[in-house]
Amino acid sequence: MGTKMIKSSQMNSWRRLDNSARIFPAASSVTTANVFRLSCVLREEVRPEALQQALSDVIHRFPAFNVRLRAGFFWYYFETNPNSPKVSREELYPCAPMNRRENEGFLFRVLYFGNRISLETYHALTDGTGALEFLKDLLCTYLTIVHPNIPLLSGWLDKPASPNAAVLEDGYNKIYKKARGFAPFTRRAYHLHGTPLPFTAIKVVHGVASTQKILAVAREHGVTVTAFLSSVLIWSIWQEELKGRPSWSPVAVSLPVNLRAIFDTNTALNFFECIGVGMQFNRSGITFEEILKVVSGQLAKELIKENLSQRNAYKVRLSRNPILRGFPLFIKNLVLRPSYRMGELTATTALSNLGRVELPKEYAAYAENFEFILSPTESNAIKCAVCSYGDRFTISFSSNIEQYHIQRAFFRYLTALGIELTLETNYFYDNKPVASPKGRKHKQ
Amino acid sequence: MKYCSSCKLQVVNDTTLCPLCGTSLTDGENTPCRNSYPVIAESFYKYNFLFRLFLFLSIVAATVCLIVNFFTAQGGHLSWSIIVLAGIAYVWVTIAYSFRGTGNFATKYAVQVLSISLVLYIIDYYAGYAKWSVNYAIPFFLMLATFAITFLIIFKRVNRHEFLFCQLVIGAFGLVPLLFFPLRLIQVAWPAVASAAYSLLTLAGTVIFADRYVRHELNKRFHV
Repeated sequence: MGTKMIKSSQMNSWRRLDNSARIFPAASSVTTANVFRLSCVLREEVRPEALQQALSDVIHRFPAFNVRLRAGFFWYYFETNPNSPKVSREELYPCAPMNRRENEGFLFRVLYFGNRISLETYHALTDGTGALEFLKDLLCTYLTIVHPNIPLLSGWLDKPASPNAAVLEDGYNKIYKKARGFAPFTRRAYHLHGTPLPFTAIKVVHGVASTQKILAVAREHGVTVTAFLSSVLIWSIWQEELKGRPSWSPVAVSLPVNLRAIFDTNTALNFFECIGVGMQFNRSGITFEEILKVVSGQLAKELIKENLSQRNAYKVRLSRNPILRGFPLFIKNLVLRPSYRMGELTATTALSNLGRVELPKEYAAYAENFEFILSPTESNAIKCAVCSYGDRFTISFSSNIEQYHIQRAFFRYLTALGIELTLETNYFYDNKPVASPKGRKHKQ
Repeated sequence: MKYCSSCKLQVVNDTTLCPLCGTSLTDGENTPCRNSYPVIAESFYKYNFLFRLFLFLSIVAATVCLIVNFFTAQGGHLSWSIIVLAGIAYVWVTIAYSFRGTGNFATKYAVQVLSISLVLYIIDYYAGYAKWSVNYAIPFFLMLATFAITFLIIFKRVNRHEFLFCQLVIGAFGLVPLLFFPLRLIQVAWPAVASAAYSLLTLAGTVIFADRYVRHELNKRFHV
């Protein structure tokens, strides 16, 4: 067993989880999947064998995805996965919990169904922006396999096979500046009530509007699209759940913010921070305009670089604390799990705006739309995810409760403003998927 | 497409009622309806009848053995039923953890070695306590377990990094029979000494010949 016999390729390279990712393996469960889905609806039916070929090509260019999760003595870590990922036909509800033994240990799924290619990612790997890069690359590779006549001009697919270290850089550590103070204290928010669906079943409703129209309406109100949609969401919850009455607990929306643009760091790992906007309904008769004013004020205040940096400093400081680092992993998990739950209690719901999705123009004509879905949790029973592609602005609600009241109020509010909407869902009255208690063996 | 006159929006799905409010839909824009999500009619969690049956039968068997042993043994001292219980427990550890668990190879191997040693000791203890387990069986078993991993590292070319950590853990296990001396568990010294010596040599060999590897593995699994 000489040293020369050990090839360096056999030494599986490994890396630490980034500072946001650390909480997800500890906090994830059947009811808290921490999986999000990005999908692209093509104008033609997906060819599985071409998709598989594309995935096998692309995975080597994305070291952030080409890993499996392992437990060390003090921390979890990612290790290069020696297996190859497989595409599969969509057979489950969107954002099903990620099983570490499923799909050869990879923490993402590439699914196809009809015209749709979906990428479901476990949040410990990366955030929405990181996953979108992967999906776009996969999509373009797939399209060049299916349509060999697409001119390869845009320099999209000539990324180096072994990407530089900056791609796997932990942005949180990079931007860390020493600062005192703790994370701002946030009150427990109001929580939605409803009849729970069977385990892992989620209802998805997409509302597709015109991007131009949404932008115009937001501009009319004098706020950003995110502020406008958050306000409509808060308004719908207040009207539907609290019937416009005063409430002791605030209705709060958790908004993940992409830090890449703000801190000029391009990492393929998680690099976001959740900020909260909320409204304390201490009296009845609050108008939508008042909510809008409060929300956009809070957003403007929270989005200042110093504030984001301050939030980050607290978390990085915790993870660098030599005493906390010395506890074995299972003890860390015992603390992280409830602290994740407590963090979630400060929000009624979440709204994630992925922003504008763009494909190189050679490929753009083949894609009809992009969709973004978050997995709901016990305390955030309804979540909202937003993205736009060309003139299609897609608002996707996912929920783990039977009731549709919030979604209905939200969409009705938009249509009342003259926004035309097209609705699509996975769970409707006469074709309602039912999870039978005596389900037969499920193929995976 | 369909149209809901209450919500005032178009519906893509091929359905008769509005998904949001349940109002009957009318014909909408002149584009075809589609259902672009699979209909999921089955439960995600299979009801594993065989698993439940074996679990129930294990509990029945254990209870029956304990009761029969209690009423037939002199003075009510349990003996053979404990051996049966240990056997059942071992089978369940193997099924639930070694085959179906998410742990890595090194941990699973270590758990197997530990539980087999424990079962050997329990059999010995409740079958007269001739001390054959601590004197001979466990030291030899540990040597075998150490050798098996060395063999795999040398001859099985895949997953060396996985086995290497295992070698370090099992090597440390091999030193345990030395503790039987101060505990006054054993009368025969040479198997325990042989086991400890063999472990020490294996550990030394691993660290000397695969130092880069060992450092990498320890760094990976114990990074703070």
